[in-house]
This record gives sequence, structure tokens and C-alpha cells, in this order.
Amino acid sequence: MSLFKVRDCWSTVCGRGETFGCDALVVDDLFGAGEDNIILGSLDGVLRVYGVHSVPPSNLQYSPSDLLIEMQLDSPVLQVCTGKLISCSPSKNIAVLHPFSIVVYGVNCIAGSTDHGDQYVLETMYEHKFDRSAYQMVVGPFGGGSGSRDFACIMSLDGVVTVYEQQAFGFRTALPNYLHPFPIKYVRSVDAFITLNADLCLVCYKYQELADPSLKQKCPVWSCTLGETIYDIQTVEITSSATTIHVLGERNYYCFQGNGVLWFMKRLQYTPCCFHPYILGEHPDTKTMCMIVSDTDSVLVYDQTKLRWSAKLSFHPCIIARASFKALQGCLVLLSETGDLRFCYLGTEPMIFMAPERPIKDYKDTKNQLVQLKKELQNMSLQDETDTLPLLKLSTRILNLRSEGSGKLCDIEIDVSPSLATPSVQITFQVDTPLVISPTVVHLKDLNENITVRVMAYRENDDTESVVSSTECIVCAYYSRTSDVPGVVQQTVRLPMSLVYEVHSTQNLDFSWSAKISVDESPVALKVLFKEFVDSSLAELCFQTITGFSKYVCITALPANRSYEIRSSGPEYVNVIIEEILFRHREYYKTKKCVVRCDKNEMPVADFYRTIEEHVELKRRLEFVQEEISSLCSQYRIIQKCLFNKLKENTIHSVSGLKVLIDNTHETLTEKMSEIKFVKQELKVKFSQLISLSRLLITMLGLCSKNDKILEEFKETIVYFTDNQNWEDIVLKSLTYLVGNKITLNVQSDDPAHAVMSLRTLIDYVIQHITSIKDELPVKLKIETTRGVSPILESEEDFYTS
Amino acid sequence: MDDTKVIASLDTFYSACMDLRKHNYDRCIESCTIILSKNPYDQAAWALKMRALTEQLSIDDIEAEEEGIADSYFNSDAIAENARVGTSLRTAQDTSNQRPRTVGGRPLSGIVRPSTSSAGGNNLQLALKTPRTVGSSRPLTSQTARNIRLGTASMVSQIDGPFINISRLNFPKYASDKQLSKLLFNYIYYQQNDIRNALDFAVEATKFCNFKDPWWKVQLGKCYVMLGLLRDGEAQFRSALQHGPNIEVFLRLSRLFIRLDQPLSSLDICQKAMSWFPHEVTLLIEIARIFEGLNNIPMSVKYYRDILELDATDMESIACIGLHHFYSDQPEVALRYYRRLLQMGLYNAELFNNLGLCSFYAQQFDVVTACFENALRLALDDNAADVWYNISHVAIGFGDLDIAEHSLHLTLSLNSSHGAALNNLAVLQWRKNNVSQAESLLNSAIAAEDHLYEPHYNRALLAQEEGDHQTSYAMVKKSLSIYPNHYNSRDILNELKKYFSSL
Repeated sequence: MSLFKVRDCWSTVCGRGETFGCDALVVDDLFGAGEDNIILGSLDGVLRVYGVHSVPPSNLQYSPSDLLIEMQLDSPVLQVCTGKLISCSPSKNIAVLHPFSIVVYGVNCIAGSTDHGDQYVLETMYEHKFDRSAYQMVVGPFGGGSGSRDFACIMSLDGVVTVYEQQAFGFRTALPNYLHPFPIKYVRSVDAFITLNADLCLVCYKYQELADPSLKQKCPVWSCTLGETIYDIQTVEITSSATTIHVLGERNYYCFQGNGVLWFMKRLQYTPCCFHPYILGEHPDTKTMCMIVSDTDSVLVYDQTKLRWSAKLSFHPCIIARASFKALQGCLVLLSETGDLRFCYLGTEPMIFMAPERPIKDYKDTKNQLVQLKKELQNMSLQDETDTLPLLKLSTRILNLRSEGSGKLCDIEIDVSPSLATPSVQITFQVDTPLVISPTVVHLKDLNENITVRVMAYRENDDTESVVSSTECIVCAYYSRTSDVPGVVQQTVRLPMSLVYEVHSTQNLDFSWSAKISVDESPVALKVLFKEFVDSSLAELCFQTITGFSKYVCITALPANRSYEIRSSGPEYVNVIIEEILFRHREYYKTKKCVVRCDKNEMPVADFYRTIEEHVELKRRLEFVQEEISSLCSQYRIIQKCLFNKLKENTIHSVSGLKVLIDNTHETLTEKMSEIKFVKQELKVKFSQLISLSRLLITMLGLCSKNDKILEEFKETIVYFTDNQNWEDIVLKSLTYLVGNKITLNVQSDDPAHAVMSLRTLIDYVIQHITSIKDELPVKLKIETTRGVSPILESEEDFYTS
Repeated sequence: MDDTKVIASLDTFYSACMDLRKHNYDRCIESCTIILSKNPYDQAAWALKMRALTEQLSIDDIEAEEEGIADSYFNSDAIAENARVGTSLRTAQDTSNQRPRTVGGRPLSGIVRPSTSSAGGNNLQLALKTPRTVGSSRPLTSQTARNIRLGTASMVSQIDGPFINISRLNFPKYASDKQLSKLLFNYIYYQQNDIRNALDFAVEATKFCNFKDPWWKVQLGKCYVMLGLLRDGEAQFRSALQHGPNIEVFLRLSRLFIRLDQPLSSLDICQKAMSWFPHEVTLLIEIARIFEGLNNIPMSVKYYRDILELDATDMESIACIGLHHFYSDQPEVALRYYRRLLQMGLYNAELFNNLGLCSFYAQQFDVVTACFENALRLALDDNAADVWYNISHVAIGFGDLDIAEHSLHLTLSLNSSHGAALNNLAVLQWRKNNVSQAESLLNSAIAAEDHLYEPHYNRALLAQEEGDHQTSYAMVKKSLSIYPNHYNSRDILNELKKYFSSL
């Protein structure tokens, strides 16, 4: 999208599917015509020479006649070089490096007489073969000659340097400290070779020293630690006595003078791919320029370390060079790995894509739409969603109870039948602790046909003391299809009572609590009512809770009084039984109308308040322990920090005092941790009792209710499960809202004792209203069923303050 | 064809070398694997594969540095808890309350860098709280393998276990091997990110070369810094610098001092480095960032301008200078900088958002809508909230409070802890006389981002109007502690004082 682009004026694709290496291209004036030629060889063994003859000179465009020579050789071309490689001949020749040979070609021009123009022919001058796989070659006037003749130096993959003095073999020597081949270049001003050794040092070896066979250990004239691998080395001659060495590293661009002095360096903020240094202007006011191609395909032109230009490329080159033609001086020559050869210039390209003119919208209409939207938003309510039929059907079956290990298990089977293909269904279960269902969540994917899911219900093993408050289990299935709104189906099932209770024979037990349920018809015989527990008729049936400290509940059916009598060790164990009696009784008298009542004075209100108080007390204790732990933890951290500091002194003496301290803190911390575990368990038990009592309260209130609406709201309010929130706070807030301004409370104080008092007042008030006929509660409260407290915020606050 | 035959005769090792030069890491690794399967003891191929694996994953670790929460908390090198004003990044004096703050409470910078998200302060509570808000995160420690370039990490897993089993490596043997040691170290440090072993290896190696090689000293320093032993790292870096100046070492030393919370020493180092490398852009950027961290915006902008002299394509500088102009009430100038970024090929939601805002404040209303439309089109979930927030500003500017309220609601739907949006929504509700709603919105704004003074001030104003002087006093105190020179807050405070003394 950038405005500044590299634009091509001449482009061609060399061959089809050929691969080019990083040394495959050289730019030189082969014929001394003042125009550069491009010589390139591919790894597929094709040698090409391009020369541009544009007519008129201002018009630089590719024409087929620009390809002067194309020749298929029989082995891969690793590198091409030019130089005066034939003795006694001033003309330039092309040296081609193959993996196991170097061939020098001369270029002959046969002047043409027709439109085709001149014809160029390659002539093999000589060839050297060697048996070490070559990596790179350097051509130059080694040995400090007058510049009239060039030699070739070949570096092989295993670090051996071979020099050929034109047609003759020169010498062969191995470079020291060598592992991987890196680019090698010849520096004319000091008559030396530079490359990177395995120690990641840039090293410079004198030609004379390499040529001297008596020197076994070749020592570099100078070296410089770069500490990174390099992509390329290039040399630029400013004058014949001054050469600069340009090195492109992984993250840096270095420029050295011939004597090894770092002239300048630049840390690059991108990964470079290839580069080409060059000089502009005449000596002495020359400018050292450098073009670097980044891996994000942009060309950056630097004047030393100052960025002069940056332009985006449309392709990814692996070689960049610079050539001069009559038509265009100093154009960029770019070659990609696949043989895309382009001559480019730095230009700008206004974006061809213009954003379409935006249609002039009628904003009057938009305003109406907004008003409409607002109206819809205001009228939207959450109740309207039940119009559509559910897409899923659930049917849940309770299978037989079985004993496994110490506990009892109950299998539950759920048939899920979708009416349409449903991509995702999630089934969850809601039961009161300590009952659990495993697995807790069932995910079904791509549901097309009926499927049966089997889960297990059992009592949590490690929690023996908690009270089961209800055996109801709610099975919820959430489903969603991509096209429409997600939906939910739910079904309530009762888990078998025998999961929590078993029959107990001894009957002369001590019962502290009793209640009576009176019915219109005669009470159902216990033998019928609980047929899975008893098979002979009994006047009295005694249940015992399965785990923990055994608690007892005893039921007597009194046909004379037309009532059931329930006696128990405590009110918190009764709810399941009463619910079950009521359920079964109503099942039995399904056809008849049978009113069930209970005495409102028998309701366990006092027990309920006592439990709340105990619960609050436990909470306070928990908080206290938590505070202690947090202060101990910060103390521990401080000691740790001190210890870290002291450890630097490296003496045992310096940490011995801290050792006692840290051990002691750790010990106390462990103690507190086990205490908190205990308190948490106790709290859990207490909370289960609290919920059980609140459920019992609701059940009994249901039997003597005069005001079912309020009862329903009351139930929603107080039977509320929370893991990390304060039950009392939430119930207090919700009840305050429910009651409205009928009762003024002193709730300003944060003291929990006050909260309990207020709670008592409120619950008393609500119970009174439920059991009396007068409907005094304001009608408008009906719509309010959601709680006024946002659960997430509060838990977060807890997290930060504790 | 003939072609296929010719290229097939190429030496596998040659093509592996060439592929590495051309950044074709996968092909290079493949070739090396072929060579190694033929000859498992080919050291050159083994090392080449190691280089390819390393280069594939290595990133510029100076740029990517980020301090983790645990690091900053257990930082035993903190010099002073209450540093003198102007000598620490944490107590940097706030001269520019005009700039909005990031979630961590730092003034906004023109560009998002790895370290801009970190909250100042040595408070674990605050540090833990920061990442919990929507749309910001900070690693728990910098020891994680976060330095690995994401997305390529999966390629590391090889069919037959890891390439080199570091725990079974004979460290003294390899560390004394001059040909392999540096490559192997890079592999352990960058590819495996196994700092502890890298340190052991570097210790062996530096011992072998008689503590003469500066490269090993730098590597030791790097390991020490990663392990949090900053002072040891400093010693190594300084020792390495005695062998000659090096940009990388200067940069690492400067970063180290920033971690020690000594920005002035860091500036010193950079100045010293500048005397060696006077035109080095990375050093100038470092200086500009430190000045920005110290809230010395004029100096920071001066250095950013110097950078643009040397490298006119540096996006960070352009963005930061643009931001500076925007917040010093020169939206037209800022607009030119942002347009430049657009010309350079940057094309994202943030840029269009800034262009829209600048043109709005520069009163070029014709392009405002187009800019914001583009911004919304390009926005992802995390920055769409800010775009909508800015649209609400534009709407307020046009007087269309309906649209403003809608956009603010959309902001909150995308980022529920956007303090500024909560605050503005509260003010809009207040105007509509929904006092209770305004009050709760202000409270949530304070809870979401308590480094903003505006919600505190507004809350104080609201409480005062309602006659709740106690709350008003508490809030105005907080507001003034964040922004001591806020005139209106002082006004309220004076009024309250007068009222309290008259009682």
C-alpha cells in the first residue's frame, strides 16, 4: 500500500522453474562499450548474457534481442565472474564455477549484416577440474599485479582455497578454524582475502601468506569479532589504494576500511536478505552508498548510516546489483530465486485502486431506524423467548441403586431426542451437595439421532457430615444451532431416597424435634407409602442417615388423627423425608383432592435463626484465619526477599538467623492452613444445614400458605446456592427489596450481628405475610425475580480485599 | 528434461548452505537431515542444522524484552522505594495530565511496545490486578518461552525427539571447541531457551578462552539478566565494553539499568554510546523512549525528530511526534504525520482512528466519517472499543448525545472495564437527571481504572450536589492525589473546607 515503490522498466523471466543461487549474477561491461552486461548462471546449468540496446536510448524495454547468449551447460552453475583471465589478452572473459570445475569462456562477436544484429558466440578457453566440491570463487589481480591480468581463487565447501593463475595451477591451502563456508572476497588495496571463520570473526589473510607453502599455520593480518553469522561481503574500490569492505550480518551492517578499522556500523531493525554497496561521485568527494533489501521486501538506500530512500518491492529478490545503460544510469538489477530478472528504478506509484465514491446515504431514514431500534430495545424483555418449541426432548430414567465400595451409586439414563440436527448440546445437572453427579457436564456434538447418556449419582465420599437437603435433580440441556437462538430444556427428577437414608430397626431413640402433617383423608399406610423399604405393615418407620454420625427420622402414620407424625434428631435432617411423604401422598390421592396442612407454630424458625447465627460465626472465624494467613504469607515473602539478598554474601553465617525465622513462619503457616481446612469443612456442613432448614421452612410454609406468590418469591430468595458469596448478604439485600419500604432497618452498619438481626426481622415479616390472609405486600414487586446484586463484581471485590 | 538432471548433481551440503543464505530454513533443515541420516558424524551438517533451527526461531531479543510480574516483585536490586522525583521511571513526575493513561496507569505513548503495558510500582497486588482487566496482559515471569516466535514453534517438534539432548551434552568438551561453541550456545539460548544450561556452557567457554573473548562476556551477561542477576550482568557487559564499543552491548546495558529503575544511568550509557556511534538510530530510539518514560515529552520529541533526520521511515517516531502534536492542540500538524504513516503503507484501525480524530479536531469534517468507518472495518475486538469511544467524542462534539450514548454503550459491550467510557456515560446520564445511574457508573469507573482523576472529580461534584459532603471530600482528595494541580478539584476542596470550618 506504500506510495514509494520500486518500479520496473525492463523485466524478463529466465527459463521456466529454474533455481538461482546467491552468487548467480554479475554486472560488468564485457565489451568496453560503456554499457553494462548482465551475466547470470542458474543452478540448472544455464548461462545467460543480457545486454540492452535500446533504440532510442530513452526507451528501456525488454526486447528478445537483449538476450545475447543462452547456453545449456552440463553441470550446475554456482557462480559467474568476469575478469581478464586469458594471458596476453586485454579483453574480459567469463569464468563459470561448477561444483567440480571452473571453465573460462571468451565472448566473440560476429557482426551481423541483417536486422538480427550482431551475433555472440561463447568459446571455451580453458578448464580446470578439481575433486573438492566448490562453494565460491573470487577473481582478482592477486599478488599486486598491475591489473592487466586476473587470477581465480576457489573456496571449496571444506575450507580449502585453490588459486589458479590463469591457465596454470597456483597453490592450494586450507583455511584455519573453518566449519561452514561463508562468502570470501578479495581486497585489492591490501592484497588479501577476507571471510568469516567458525569463531564468528571476520578474518583477513594476506595473499602472500596463503601462497607461502612454508607457513603451516596461516595467521590473519587482522580479525574482528562480529559475533553473528553473515549473509554477504562486498568490496568497493574508492581509489586503487583505498578499498572499503562491506559486511551484511544478521542484524548489523558493517563497513571496514582495508586495514581492518571499523569505519561505521548500523544496527538494522529488520532482517536483511541481500545488499549492494556502491559509490557515487568522483574522488575525493565520493559518497558511500548501500542498498539493502529487507525480508519485508523493501529496498532501503543508505548514505553511510543515514537512510536516504526506502521503497517497496513487488517481489522477493535474492540478488540486488546496480547497472548503467545509456538509457538509464544506475538502475537496480534484481534477480529472484526463481529467475525473475528486473531492471528497476526508485519511483512512486499512486494507488491504482481508488475507493469507490460513497453513495450519498439518506440519513433521514437512519435516524428513524435508530429511533425504532431504541424502541425495540426498550420493549425487549426476556420472557418472550418461550414461544418456540424446544428442539430437544429429554426423558430421564432412574435405574437401580447399587453399592460400590463404601457408598451407594445410582445410575441415571437420559434419552436425548433432537427434532432437527443439532451441532452442539451440553447437558448439566443441578443437585444439592453433598450429592454429586458424575460427569458433571456432558457435551454432545453433531446430534442427529436419539442418544442415551448414562451418568451416576452418589454421595460425595469425603464429605460425610453434610446434610442432604433435597433429592431433587434438575437436568438441563442447552443446545445451540448456528442459525437461531440457543435454547434450553430442563427436567426435574427425584433421586431415590435410599441414596441417603436406610431403615433402622431400633425405635426407642431420643428425638428432639417433631412435627405433624394433617391430611383430609386418612393417611396412607407406611407399607404402601414406602414400599421399597418395608414389606410388612408397621405403625412406625425409622430412617437413619447413611453416613457420618447417624441421625434418625421416625415417621408414624396416625389414621385416628388423620395425620403423619414426624420425629427426628434435628429439623435439618427431615426435609427430604417430608418432601417424599408429601410427594407420595399426593401421588396416592392423585384422583382426589386432598388438602395437606401443618401447624405453623411447628415450623423450625428458631432453629433456622440459630443456624444462621452459627453460620455467620463460622464465617467470621474463617475470615479471621484467612487474615492471619495472608499476613503470615507476606511475612514469609519478606523473609524470602531478605534471604535472597543475604544469599549473595555466600556465607552460612549470614542466613542462619533468617533460617529460624523462615522455619517458624512456615510451621505456623502450615498449622493455619490445616485449621482453615477444618473451618472450611465445618462451614460447608453448616451451610448444608442452613439450606436444608431453609428448604424445610419453604416446604412447611407451603402447607400453610395463604399467599403463594410471596411464598414463591421467598423460596427463590432464600434457597440460594453460592460458593464464594455471602449467603446472608445476598438474602438480606433481596429480602429488603422484596419487602420494600414496609420495614425500616438499620442496615447502615456492616456488623454481621446487625445483619442477622435485620434478617430475622425480615424473615419474620415475610413468614407472617405468607401465613396470614391479608395481602399487604405491594403488587408491583411481582415482576422482580432477579436479584439486585451482580454476583461477579462482588466476588472480585472479595478477591482484592481479602 | 536435461534441467532436472543437472540440478540433481548439486552437492546436498551446498544447497543446504545456499538455502540458509536465502532464509529457506525448512529446506535447509531437510537437506541437513538427509546428510545426517547418511553420515551421523558429519559435524558441519550437524552445525548447519543447528544454525538453521536457531535462526528460524531467533528474534531480536533486545526489542522483545519484557519484565514479568514475578521479576519486578522479587527484584531485590530496587535501589530506593521512594526515589527522588525525576530519577526513577516509577516516580516520574506527571507534567502532562492531558494525555490519557493506559490500563497500567502510564501516560499513553504513540506506539505500543512490549513494555508499555507494564504497570509502574512495586506492588504485587497492583501488578496482579492489571492483567485481570480486559485487553491487557503481562507475563507472570519473563522466564517463559515467550521469546519464541509464535507460530513457528510447532515446527520444532521432530519425529524422533529433540535434535540435541542438552542434558547429555558434555559441556567442557564442546565449550572448548572453538568451531562449535558459539553456534551451540546460540542454539541453547535462543532455540531451547534453556538459560540455566546456556549459562553453564558460557562459563565453561569463557574459562577456556581465558576470559579474553568479549562475545562470551556478552552472552554471560545476557544469561545473568535473564536469570535476574542484574548486577552480575552489568559487570559482564562493562567488561565486554573494555574490548571495544559495541552497539548491542550498549543497548543491553541501557535496558539493564531500566530494569534497575535507573533511567539516568541508562541515559548516561546511551550518551556514551552516541559518542562512538553518533548516527545510530537504535540508540536514539532508546533515549527517546527513556525520556518519554520520565514524562519529559519535549526532550523525547527532540530525539524522535533526530531519528527522523536519520531514518525518515521510523514509524515509532512519526507516531510519537504525531501524538505529541495532537495533545498539544495542533491537530493539523498531527494529521500530517498520520497521513505520512498512511502513505508509508500502514493500514490499521488505530491509524484511521487517529486520522479521524485529528481531522475532527482540525475541523475537516468531510473525512471524519470515512476515517471512522474504515477504522471500524479494520478493528478487532480489542481496539474496536477505543474506536467507539472516540466516535462518542465526535458525537458529543456534534451535539448528538443520542449517538454518543449509543457508542459508549457499544464501547462498554466490547470492553466492560473501560473507565473513561464509564465516566463519560455517567456524565451523559447525569445530564438527563439519572443521578442514581450516574452515581453507580462513576463508582464502576473508579473500580475499573482508579488512575483516572475524572471519575473521582465527577463523583465529588455529584456528592456535593446531593449534600453528601463526606464522600465529596474523600473523592476530591483522591482526585487531587492523582492530579495535584486540577483547578476544579481544588475549588471544591476549598468550598468544602469553608463549609466544614463553619460548622
